[in-house]
Amino acid sequence: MDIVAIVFLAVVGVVLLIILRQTRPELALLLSLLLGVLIFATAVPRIGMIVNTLGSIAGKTEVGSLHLSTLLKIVGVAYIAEFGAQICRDAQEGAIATKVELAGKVIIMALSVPIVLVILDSVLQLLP
Amino acid sequence: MGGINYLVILQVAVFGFVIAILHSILENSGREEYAQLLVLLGVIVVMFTVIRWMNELFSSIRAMFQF
Repeated sequence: MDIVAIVFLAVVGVVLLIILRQTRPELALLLSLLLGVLIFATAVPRIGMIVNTLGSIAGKTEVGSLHLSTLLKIVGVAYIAEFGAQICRDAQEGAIATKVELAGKVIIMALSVPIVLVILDSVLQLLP
Repeated sequence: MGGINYLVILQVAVFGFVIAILHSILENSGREEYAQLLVLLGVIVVMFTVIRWMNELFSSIRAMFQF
């Protein structure tokens, strides 16, 4: 029961955070960052099973492994960018958070260029 | 992967409380510059811990999504 452990961790961490934030806000920010990292690290190994299932499904269909790996990369970039942006927003630095999100979007766009090219190629083949 | 490492949260929180108490003691005894230095040192120490954990998390994400 990972979820019970996660909720306990979050509750204990939040109580400690509230006490610490009154005296040392900068240490409270680091503690909240650590809490987020630990919770995320508990959830990440479960993704491996999902990724394996997706891979086996993709193996049965015509989807190339290039497309699947691109998709997985995009999901990973989105997770990491969201994590960083949320941490920055927690520290009341909305401007930096927006820039992190923008960088994530640009990187995702660059990653998806090969798939767009494949779509364009197939559209061009359909045209007479 | 084993269970969650709860201990590190408690460690960081207790470290923060100790830093806060020492800071107020130093400030009340009139040594403001030492108090600021102590807080800076504490933040750096905790930051190294956090960065180590973040590195671990990001490398596991990168392994998971085959970067």
